[in-house]
Amino acid sequence: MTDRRADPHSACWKWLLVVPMILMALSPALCATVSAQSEEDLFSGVTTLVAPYSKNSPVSVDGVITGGEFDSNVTWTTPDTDISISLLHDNDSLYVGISGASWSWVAFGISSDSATTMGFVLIANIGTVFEVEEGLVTNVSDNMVFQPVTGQGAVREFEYSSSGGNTTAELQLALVTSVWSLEPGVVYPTVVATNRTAPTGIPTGVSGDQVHFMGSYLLRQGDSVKNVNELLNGNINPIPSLIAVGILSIGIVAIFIEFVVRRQKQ
Amino acid sequence: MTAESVKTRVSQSRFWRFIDERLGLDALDYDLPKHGNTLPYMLGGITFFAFVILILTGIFLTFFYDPNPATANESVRKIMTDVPLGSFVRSIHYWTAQAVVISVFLHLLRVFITASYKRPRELNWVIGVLLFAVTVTFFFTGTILKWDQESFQGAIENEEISHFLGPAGLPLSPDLAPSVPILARMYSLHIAVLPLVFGAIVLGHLFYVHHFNISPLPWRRKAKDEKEEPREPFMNHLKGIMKYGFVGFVILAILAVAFPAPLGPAPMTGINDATFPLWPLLPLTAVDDLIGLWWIIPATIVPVLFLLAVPFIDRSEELDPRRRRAIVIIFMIGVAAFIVLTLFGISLSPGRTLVGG
Repeated sequence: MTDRRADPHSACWKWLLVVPMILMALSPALCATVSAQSEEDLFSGVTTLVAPYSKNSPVSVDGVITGGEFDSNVTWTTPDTDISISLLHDNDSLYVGISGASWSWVAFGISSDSATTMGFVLIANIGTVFEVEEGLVTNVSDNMVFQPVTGQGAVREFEYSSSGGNTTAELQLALVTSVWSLEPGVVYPTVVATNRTAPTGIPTGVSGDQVHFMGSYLLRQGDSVKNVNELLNGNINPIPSLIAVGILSIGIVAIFIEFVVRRQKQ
Repeated sequence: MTAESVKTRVSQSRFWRFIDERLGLDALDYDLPKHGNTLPYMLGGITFFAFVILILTGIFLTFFYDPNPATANESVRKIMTDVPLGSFVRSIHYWTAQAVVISVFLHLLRVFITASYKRPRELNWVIGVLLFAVTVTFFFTGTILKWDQESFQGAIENEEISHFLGPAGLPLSPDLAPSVPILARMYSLHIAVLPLVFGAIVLGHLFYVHHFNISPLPWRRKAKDEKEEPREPFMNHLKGIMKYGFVGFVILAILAVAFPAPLGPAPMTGINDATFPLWPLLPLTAVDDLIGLWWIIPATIVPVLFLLAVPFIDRSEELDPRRRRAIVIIFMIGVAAFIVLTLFGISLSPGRTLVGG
């Protein structure tokens, strides 16, 4: 019988442990391509629209956005159509301000259930006037078809105004409707889609570059834009981690030198 | 300088004789090989010293911490702003926890490189690996308690992993007690369950360190070589640990003042991957990012199983790391993977933007 202690490296079963360890060590390189091929979450790492809280909303839904109604620090502008979107909320309504030159329609969708079903509000130029319609999308993707919905109860008020080629619209939306229920402290999947060149009329769907996948966050009373910004951008200071990893690495090298390299020189 | 042994002190003083008669301190009066008083062989003791700091600062923090999800973040904020020395104590706790991870990791590395796990110390190696696992669990549960976005994300991932594990994951799952917040469970684990487990295991570890004495240097292969090495009292070892421990404490205090423990705002739901954990958990984040959350389970379990199996794989009497190349290379590949994944985790960016931010 073989003395296993005298020849410890002879047993093949050890490779059952060796192989997984090597695979573990190489896993970043092996799996990088797999990761790259995996399906991206539509709402992963997206821009978040922040809706500041105001107990007594300063927004007057008259179609004219005046200074002081919305916070210009949290206004987002679509990169393709140059249309600005602003949000604000009070205890029971979400206010949406839209402003831009020569736009034909804007679709604003939000979901509180799952990102696959989303309630939409569509504002469109239907010839000489702008109208608002409520819709629903049951399969959110970059190629969505709207289903008109009546009685959704999302739009409480809507007004718009046009001046010098610039159109401004203001919406008052209910925080609780038949398709969404919004509350502060939660980021909700949101879609903003815009168009400047389409023929007038309510769109039946959106696709491609028209669609912007986003998040919407209703600030809690204790929140500030600054601390939400810290949250969304990651609040980790890398310096402590680098110090700790540096000390650990020095320790590893020192032990290796002490017990392997230095001994070899002796 | 040779330290005064306990026995000498006992013989010199009635007071020490009185104390020793009741506490049995002369059990500490034994000799160690001289190399036992070098830094690499004191890492275990230094880790224990750091754990004492963690216990003391942790007890202080429990006086002011509220493990209710609605108020936990605010209570930590109050510790940082309203409690006298609160910010300093929490920051010491934060930095010492990281120092413990470093020292326990280096201690494990030294024990591995010098083959101190070999006969007759196999059981003590297994106990040490369990202590390492308990330390990491301590660290994870501690990062959840501050209940900011980073903690919240950790809790969510913990929940997902517990579901992957099925019934085995029930102790970590909200399903165990749906009406009790997972934060309360983590708090219970951190301040009650883990300290008890740690205390029981570490007593066994210390007992066997004392029982088998310090392991020989890896190049002193013959019993004759060991006998030729000068010996020193164990009290020198304790004094060395205290010396390094206090120097380390001063460094940690400086770090605590220069880089106070971070605290984000109370978490918001509906977002993922907005924050990353502290560096000891970053390799797991990197695994999640590269191949998926499920892979965290084998990435955690396989290395621990490997470490537990080490004394039973490498059963030769050879201690010199240069003559144990196969297993040392495997181990160092694992260490390199840990460092690379940590650095990869640091390099990851949440990639989220806020309007106007």
